[in-house]
Amino acid sequence: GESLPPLRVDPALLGAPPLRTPTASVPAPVGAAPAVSVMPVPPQPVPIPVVAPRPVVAPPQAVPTEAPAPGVVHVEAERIEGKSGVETVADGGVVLKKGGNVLMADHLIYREAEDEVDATGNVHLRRDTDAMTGPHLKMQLEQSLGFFETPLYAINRPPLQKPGQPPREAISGQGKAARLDFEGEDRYRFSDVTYSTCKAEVDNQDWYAKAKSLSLDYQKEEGDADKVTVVFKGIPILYSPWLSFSLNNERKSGFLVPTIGGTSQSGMEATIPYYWNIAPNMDATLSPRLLSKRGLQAVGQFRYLGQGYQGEVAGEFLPQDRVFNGDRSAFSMLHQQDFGRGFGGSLNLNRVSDDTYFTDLSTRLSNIAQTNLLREGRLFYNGGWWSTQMMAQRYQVLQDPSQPPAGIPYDRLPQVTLSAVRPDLPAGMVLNLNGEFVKFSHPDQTLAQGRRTTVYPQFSLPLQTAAFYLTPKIGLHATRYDLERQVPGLDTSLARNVPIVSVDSGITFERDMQLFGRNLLNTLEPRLYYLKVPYRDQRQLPLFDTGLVDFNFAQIFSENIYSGGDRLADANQLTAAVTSRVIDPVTGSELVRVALGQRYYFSDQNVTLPGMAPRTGHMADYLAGMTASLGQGFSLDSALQYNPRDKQMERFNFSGRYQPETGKLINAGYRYTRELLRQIDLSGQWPVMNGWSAVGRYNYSFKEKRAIESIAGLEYNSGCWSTRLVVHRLATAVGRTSSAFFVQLELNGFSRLGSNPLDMLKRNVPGYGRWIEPAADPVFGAQ
Amino acid sequence: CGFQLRGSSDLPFETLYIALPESSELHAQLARTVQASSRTRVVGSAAEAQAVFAVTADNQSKNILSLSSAGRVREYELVRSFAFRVHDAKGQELVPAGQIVLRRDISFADDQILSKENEEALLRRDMQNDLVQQLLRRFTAAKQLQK
Amino acid sequence: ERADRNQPVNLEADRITADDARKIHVFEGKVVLTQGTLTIRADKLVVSQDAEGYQKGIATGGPNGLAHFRQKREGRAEYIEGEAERIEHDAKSEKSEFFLHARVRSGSDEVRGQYVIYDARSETYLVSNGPGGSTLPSTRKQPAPERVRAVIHPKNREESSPSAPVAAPNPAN
Repeated sequence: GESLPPLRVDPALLGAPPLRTPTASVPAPVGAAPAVSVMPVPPQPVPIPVVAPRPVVAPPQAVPTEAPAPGVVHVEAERIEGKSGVETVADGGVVLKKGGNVLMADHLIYREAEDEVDATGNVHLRRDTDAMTGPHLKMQLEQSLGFFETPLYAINRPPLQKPGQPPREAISGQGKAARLDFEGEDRYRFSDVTYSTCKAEVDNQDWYAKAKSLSLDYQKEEGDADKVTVVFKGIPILYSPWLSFSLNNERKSGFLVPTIGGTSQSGMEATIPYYWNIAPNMDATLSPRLLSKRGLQAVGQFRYLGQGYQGEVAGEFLPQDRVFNGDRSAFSMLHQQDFGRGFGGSLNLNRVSDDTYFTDLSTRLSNIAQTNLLREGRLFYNGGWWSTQMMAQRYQVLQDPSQPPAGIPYDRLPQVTLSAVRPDLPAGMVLNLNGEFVKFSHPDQTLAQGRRTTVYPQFSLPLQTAAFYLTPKIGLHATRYDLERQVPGLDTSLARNVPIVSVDSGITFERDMQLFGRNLLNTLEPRLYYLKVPYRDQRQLPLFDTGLVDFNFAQIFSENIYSGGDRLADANQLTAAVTSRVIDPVTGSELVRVALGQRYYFSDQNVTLPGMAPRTGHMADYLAGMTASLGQGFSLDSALQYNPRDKQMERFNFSGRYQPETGKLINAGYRYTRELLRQIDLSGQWPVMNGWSAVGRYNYSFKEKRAIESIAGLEYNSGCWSTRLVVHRLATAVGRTSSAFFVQLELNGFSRLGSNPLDMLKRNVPGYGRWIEPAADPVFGAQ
Repeated sequence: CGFQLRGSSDLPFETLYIALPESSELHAQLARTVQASSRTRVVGSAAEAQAVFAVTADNQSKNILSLSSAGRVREYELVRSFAFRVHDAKGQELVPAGQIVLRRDISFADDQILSKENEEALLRRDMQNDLVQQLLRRFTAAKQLQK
Repeated sequence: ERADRNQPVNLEADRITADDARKIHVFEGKVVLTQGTLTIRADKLVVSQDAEGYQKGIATGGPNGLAHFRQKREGRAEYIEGEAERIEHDAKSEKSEFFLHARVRSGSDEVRGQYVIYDARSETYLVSNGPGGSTLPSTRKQPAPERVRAVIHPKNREESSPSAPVAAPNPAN
């Protein structure tokens, strides 16, 4: 669902000097840990928005603008009579103004002693941006006590402003009530009230919320309604005995919209989330979830944000799952902290009670496909020119009974890395130093385990001008293994010392160019990279964390075709590439980038992974890549890897997108990896006819001759409500698919009912959602 | 064909303050690159800087790109969406506020999770190098603006 | 005030013409009439007397075309002040009528419109577009606004309530 408004750090609460910008992002920890820079925004409590500048009934005639001095009453009419200091009676298009109130009526009596006005005959009251009209109003202006009979009202509400989002206009809502009581400054109480964001006149709005009473308190900025029924096209669809919500979009404790759904594994499902706003920088969402086939599951999520730290803890507990017949639970925690002066740390713990927990209980696709649950703690220090990090990491591996058993990765308890850059050595020399100490351990007794220490100093001499650079580099990659357990027959202490020499050079050419009448900047950037790594026999070395890296533009200029530290490929090769960019000279933004790359091997490859044929031959694969945003919503992205030796395509991806405006979108993609995958992927969203728009995705695999994932959906938006009907089918195992049906009714600016397909649509149809998802959620992201 | 060597890449400001925590890798890298390829100096506080580089959004995400027929993730797409502003002491914009989105694909297999984690770090570093180069382009482009 | 009625009338004017038969006196040119707390200023004042001897005055014109009327309110320290193109004051009924660009102020409250009638005895006023619902054409060039206006300064309760007897400060509240 939509996310919660961002937490705000209340400096007073923390006794610290006020922060400059409350939403300053917590510094990203070093290394690959994803940075949660924008806190997820809590799901929106059921709001009854307030205040719209557009009154239900336009005021009879232009109202003079100048506001009376405080306490002074201005009356204007066709006839005024009265006793000075006692009473004033006005008739005919009466306009009374006092303070922020503008009151219009056919007939009006103002009693000075009680400062009370009694207005009858299409009475129209406007305060700031609230507007109410009705037959009869009696009210003490100063105290603002009184009542309004059968008013029609229009109230407005500041929108939820998401950081970095274009401002959204206010949500306006209107309705009618049997009676409105003014209960003091800025406090209204409507009884037998209806409310809707539909612009139509009060009696034929497509939907409205009916409540026995609705009280709005602008001082406390809170609203409470009881006995609320939501009626859609005449049919009551939701009843809630009591509802409270915030008037200014601040987070407010209250029940969120219950969601009802169902899956084949768990039967009917109902969740009633309660949002608890503990403090400006702490909140929690507790949502008991009833699963008809399994029992009652308690789901909780707690978020906190403090001076330099933030985090989220989520937990689920299902006592006595009737299908599984046993207790089941899950836990996830993400904590990040900046200790100041360069120190920082993060904790990312995830655990489930059994292997099939996700496939049985969770509907979020990203969990189904996950088999390794990360458990990791990091501490790091960044001293500017050098930084170090200590990490402890394990994975919980979930075995899927229908699949061959997945390999269990090594634990790294701990891993200490060091990296330093001294760019200012004499004669322009630059020292890069990378060090690593890791203690690997593994439950399988037949696998090697022990400590690996690596030190890799490199000296380089970057010669650089604006257009040209030449960077010779020489380094010594030294690694030692002290193994507690080793494959029988191999030594337990091993070493590998390899000198690495490389020369990187590049030239940048530029020229002005005209395209479609726009003058652009076109660059041509050839690059040559020579790498020499002598052969070292590494067959005795264990394989802890090493694998073959995809062959792409990031890899062809790196020193090793393997990732991790257990294998250092021998190399004597020259890599050539040329990149051409088209740049908008005004903003400097890159519109088109085309790159070609090739590598020439002077010697065969000897260091291999088990089961991998060593490469012979001199020509590496050709690499080509192109990304282009061509304007009017067109963009292309394509990459190709061609193997000239065996004259076959290793990898070819193409994806195009046409998105002239939000709501109109077509994606077309083809992904091919030799012997691994050949898929097409079409997705899009397009208006069909008035108000209706279709959304869909078709991801077909030619290799397996079946649809991997397909979506078909229809969305209707009538301006004040919208509905989505989406069918989603996903291949979950060889020959097995799981399909889900989403029906959702969204009362714009009010609430959403039914199962929410928005997350799934955003993932499946890129460009469907307008905002970029926050960094990778912990396993149980926001509702 | 009209190509000539790229001219000097001076920036429209002599001193720059990078409004990022000291412990962020991007801060160290951007500072190194700016000072290596132009005469601009990176200073320690906004007060003494002609220009302040402020990050308005920096989201890194990892989206599933393709699934195997067994419903397992086969490829991820690493995305980094970066938005920034460069303004002077009075808040005047020196470089037009912009957004840079970087994408890299990475194949995935469940049993190579450790090596894929290292590969992801390699790609994230490559994205950051690309980001820093594009930022430099944006700064130098703003120079033409001033002329 | 009611006592004005039997106060001596003092009148100044540039010219006075009297018609004793019909008991009409016409005063012209910077006319000032004072009787007790009542003063009327105008360019021209026509005073007539009825059978029982009550006087009725019609004042027209004056500084920037408006006749001026001022009288103290009964038992109050406040004054009623009014101006209009034509003011008719009837001592018998104690009513004053203000015609065209009328503006009457009582204390800090004020009413404006085409026609105002003020009854000193009941201290009530009525302001509208013309007597009895009619609409008076305006003699001036620009169209007279057909709406009337009132500005009321409600005496907030503390001021008007009788002053509290001097009591020891109440520690409770």
